[in-house]
Amino acid sequence: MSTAFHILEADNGLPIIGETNPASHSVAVGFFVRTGSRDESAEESGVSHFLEHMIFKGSKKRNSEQLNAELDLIGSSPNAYTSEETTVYYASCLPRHLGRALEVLSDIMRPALRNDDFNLEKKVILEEIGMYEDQPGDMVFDHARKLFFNEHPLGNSVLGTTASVQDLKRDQMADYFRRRYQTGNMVLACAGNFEFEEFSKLALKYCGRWPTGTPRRAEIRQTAGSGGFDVRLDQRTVLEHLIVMNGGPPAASPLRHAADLVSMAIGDDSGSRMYWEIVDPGHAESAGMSYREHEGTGIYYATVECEPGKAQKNLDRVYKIINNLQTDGITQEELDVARTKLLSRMVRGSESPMARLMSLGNHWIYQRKHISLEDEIRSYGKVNMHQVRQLLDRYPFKKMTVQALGPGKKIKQPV
Amino acid sequence: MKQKIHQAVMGNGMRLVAERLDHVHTAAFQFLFPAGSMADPVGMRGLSNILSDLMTRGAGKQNNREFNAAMDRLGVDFSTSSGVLNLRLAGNCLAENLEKALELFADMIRRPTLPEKELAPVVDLAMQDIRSTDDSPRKKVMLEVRKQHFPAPLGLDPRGEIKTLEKISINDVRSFHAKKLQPKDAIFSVAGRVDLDQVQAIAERFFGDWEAGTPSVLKEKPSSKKPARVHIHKETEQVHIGLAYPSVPVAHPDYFAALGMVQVLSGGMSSRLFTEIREKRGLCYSIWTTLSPLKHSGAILGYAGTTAARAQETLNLFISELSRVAEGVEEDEVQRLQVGLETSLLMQEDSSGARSNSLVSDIFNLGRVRPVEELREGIASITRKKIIDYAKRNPPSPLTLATIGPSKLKIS
Repeated sequence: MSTAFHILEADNGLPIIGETNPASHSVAVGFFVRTGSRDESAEESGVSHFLEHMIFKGSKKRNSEQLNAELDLIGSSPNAYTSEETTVYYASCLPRHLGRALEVLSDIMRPALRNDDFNLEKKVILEEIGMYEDQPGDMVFDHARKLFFNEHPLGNSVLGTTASVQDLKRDQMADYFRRRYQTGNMVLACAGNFEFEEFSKLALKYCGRWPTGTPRRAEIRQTAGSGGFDVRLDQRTVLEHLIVMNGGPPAASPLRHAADLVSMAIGDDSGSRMYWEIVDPGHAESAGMSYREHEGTGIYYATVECEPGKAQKNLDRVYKIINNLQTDGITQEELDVARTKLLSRMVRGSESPMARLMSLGNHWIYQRKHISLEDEIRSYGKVNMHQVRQLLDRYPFKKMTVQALGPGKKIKQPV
Repeated sequence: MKQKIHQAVMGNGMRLVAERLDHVHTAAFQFLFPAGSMADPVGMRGLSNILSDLMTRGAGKQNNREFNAAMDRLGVDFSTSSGVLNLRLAGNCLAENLEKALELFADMIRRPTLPEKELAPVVDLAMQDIRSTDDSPRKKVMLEVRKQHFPAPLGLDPRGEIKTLEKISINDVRSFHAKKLQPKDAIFSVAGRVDLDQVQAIAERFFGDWEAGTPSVLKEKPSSKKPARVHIHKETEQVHIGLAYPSVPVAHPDYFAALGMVQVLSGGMSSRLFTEIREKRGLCYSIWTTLSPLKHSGAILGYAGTTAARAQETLNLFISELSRVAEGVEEDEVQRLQVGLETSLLMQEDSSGARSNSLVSDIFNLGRVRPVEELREGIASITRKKIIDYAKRNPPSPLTLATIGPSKLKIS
């Protein structure tokens, strides 16, 4: 596949990057903003996500009704998401619609933030929070992150609470927007079947006058987590939802590839140690481990969903698996299998321009560089047993933080 | 764009359909057997689903661990599942591993060990899976609405119930496998960077000597003619609303008009439900409808979630929007929905998994592959008049309603 990387930095500091692949049938484009709930003060809790909704309420040039009709005419599936540290606006469309998609996306990145829209959309956000609260499997992550990160801003909830969103004012949002949506804090990325020169010309036309600036991120220290243990009783819930967390390498660490492979060997949803010891025998409906990188720090999540009566034993099993991992590492065979699985998933994922866009934009936001699919494959290829040991020594599993949510009362921390 | 498609029927009746995609590195494949939960014996609902889970636990000469390790070493992502009509096995791997992957699938399909000692954990997991639905009211309400709307066993949860799962013995599973998984009526699809002649040769080698048995024919019954209502009380934050009403099957001449109507309702950011209920009134975060066409029948399903105090208003508006399509559709709505449908159709071409799924579904539902060009023509043929005519002939009645939440709702 003949892909090529292109980059241009606008005079106002906005990076414009692209990965062209003429064999694709479609193209994906998006703005990545280095901002999220970790960048909010307590009074602003929920504002990043609320702002993401308000972007789709239109600019000075178009109101939401016009905008929605135009987006549908591009045939794109326009969408956005907000995480703890990034907010992303993206669309995928047929190549012939790219110019219009870019014009519309660029325009709405300068939102009007009209008062009426703000008050109406607040209701939608409150409904979204309500929906989330009815899903214990999602809620448990909010509690877990709060417990693990404690005072660290990465523990901030993305949605915020009903109370914090109720209290938000339109001017707080406008202020947050001015502070965070500056060119040095963003990147425009595009992947798939398109011409970069033409694309970047349009981009300069639409975004060339945006305000320059590179806002700081307050707190980026590494953390091993609080080591807390919390059992949250919820009688409405049928299953017990358990999360065991531990600190891991940050996004910029050369050990992140090893962390991915170790999590896969320990907790992939098939063929891993957690699968064979917990799911295969029927002890839990699901169990797994994943590693998530953040700026400045990283975190492993081991999760279990099971009947409340089985929760204690499953928690003991997770501890045993993790303690064995810390002492003895993983075997060469486990490392090789994890690598094969991860790489073939990566190659499969890369077939869609949307997946390439996400990789392109997020690597830029975290590391300010282009990492091609081939680079990533090479890095995973290089992980050896020595690196695995290095990872476990540098980010040891020795201070686990545990969150439980469900009907189970008598869950105790394993010794 | 000319599609490269190869089709064949093997001596034992198994149908092969393969498509070459030049721009991908992978191969995705699927096996479909008309042996979903409708084929479950009376009183033993969930049996097909148990079989689909047990098949992965050892096959050929390999035990559970060896078999799964062999899949992992090849980097094959695979899944087995049982729906109402069909039991499906799907896999996806790098194209160069296709032959080895299919060898493992042939073992799993023709020579599964179905070990007795693995039955208890598989049943246990299935029961936990059923119970876990209570922790997701969004999912549960849609299961309920299907159950109310479609006649049994079509609307029933293919996973069965705790009490039916308790009765299943290993001999039931083995005999279900022997009787219901037959090459006759089976469909095998492959899409990706594959050599079509080679796929044919591989299929013959792994499945050509599989003897044809007696085919099992399943008949769908028509949808419910009585409006059904069900409410499950739960102290949730939102009332979760599920709706269903009759529509048309895939092969029906009205299929594209029905698809167009659903797009008008909830196909994009400017669709009616999104605009009227979320954008103008802020009543919901999530509201949608979808066309759920089967081989011989079809339904439109809908969902909305709203906090209790506003749920009745949401339901009233929801139903009135469903009815309002018959009163008129604008030209620009048609234009937008055509762009949306065409885009998602063409984007499928970037995914071998999506293609292998379409191939198998086309053969099952229509008995032939519908070329992308034909689908484009179908989309282009949608007009205002066709949608309005369809909506007049297919009003939201009888309407099935399921709700989960702290309060019960009324249909006025």
